[in-house]
Amino acid sequence: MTNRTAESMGTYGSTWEAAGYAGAGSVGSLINTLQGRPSIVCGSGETVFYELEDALKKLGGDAVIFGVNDVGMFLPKLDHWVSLHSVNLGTWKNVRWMHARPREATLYHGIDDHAYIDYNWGSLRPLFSLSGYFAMQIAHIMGSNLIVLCGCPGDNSKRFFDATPRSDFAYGADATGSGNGVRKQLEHEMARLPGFKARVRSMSGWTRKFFGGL
Amino acid sequence: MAVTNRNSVLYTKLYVTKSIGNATDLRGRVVPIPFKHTVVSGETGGASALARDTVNLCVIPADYMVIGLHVSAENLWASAGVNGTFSIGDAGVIDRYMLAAESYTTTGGPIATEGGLRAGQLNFAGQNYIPSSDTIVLLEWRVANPTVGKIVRGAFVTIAGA
Repeated sequence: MTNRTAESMGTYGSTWEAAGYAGAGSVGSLINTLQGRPSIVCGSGETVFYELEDALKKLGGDAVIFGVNDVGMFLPKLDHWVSLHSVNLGTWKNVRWMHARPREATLYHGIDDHAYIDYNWGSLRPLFSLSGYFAMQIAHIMGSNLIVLCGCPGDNSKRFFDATPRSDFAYGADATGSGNGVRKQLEHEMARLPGFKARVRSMSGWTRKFFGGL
Repeated sequence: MAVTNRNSVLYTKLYVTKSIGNATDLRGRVVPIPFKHTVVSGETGGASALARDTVNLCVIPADYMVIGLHVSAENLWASAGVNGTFSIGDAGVIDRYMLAAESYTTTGGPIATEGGLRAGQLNFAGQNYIPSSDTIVLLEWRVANPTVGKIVRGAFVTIAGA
């Protein structure tokens, strides 16, 4: 079982505050470690691999790569692997390691304590409700000056491993359904922290309209 | 048969023995403690306690008396046929303030009749409860997983301890 922290907890029990957020645990040492460096956050949108290639051409080789959930198994390079599904991350990690790759030093971020999780963000508040936005949040707290979303359209586009879009969840595209709170939370946070929003760009979908393109 | 009129402990304290009351006895300052949670991807409501995720909602400060609770939630489950529930309590009694409720009516609306939650009624264990130390209020998911992006919000009504 996992214990999470609601946004209404404020800074109670937190041991660090940075970039508009607060929390506790082992993540304090990461704050501002990416200052001056661009980050790319790769979600599971169907065009993620093309968008990553395009973003890398524009940003150059200095970009830090964040992988989110399933797509981390297949990304050519992966600096940080982020998921709200900490249990799944262990399995995904094993799959990635089955592919022959050059030696790499990936750091694992989740919201529970597991042997394979390097950084537990469980007490981060407010915590974004989707793993892609959660990864964007981590890049922001780590001080990245430009955060580019690839394969994070924030709408009901299909995922790279689906034949059709999900019927049970729309990632914020349904105004009154399950996605309503997802998009409202993002809009509220970006209104609260306009400096955060100014650092984010997206390669596709609703988030490209919201944040702007690269 | 004669009827008897008795005094409550509080009545005796203040009006019979005329002891000095503390802040929670009379004329205390009412302090609302609001909370809000947006369901995050991966939150799990299991059948047993070991498989039920929890959420830290807010903190009841030490010596504050809890006198009311208002809770409202969107339809938290994927459909009316998914009978998940959630309770509100703390580490000592997981449903101290609100017994497990569904938050999904047959008409698809949010909490309507379950436990009279919108009327600010507390579970008996939580009514006039005074924690002796700062206590985190926990929401516990049960039976089914809540839907990502759905929101639970509300407020405790308390009397400050001093």
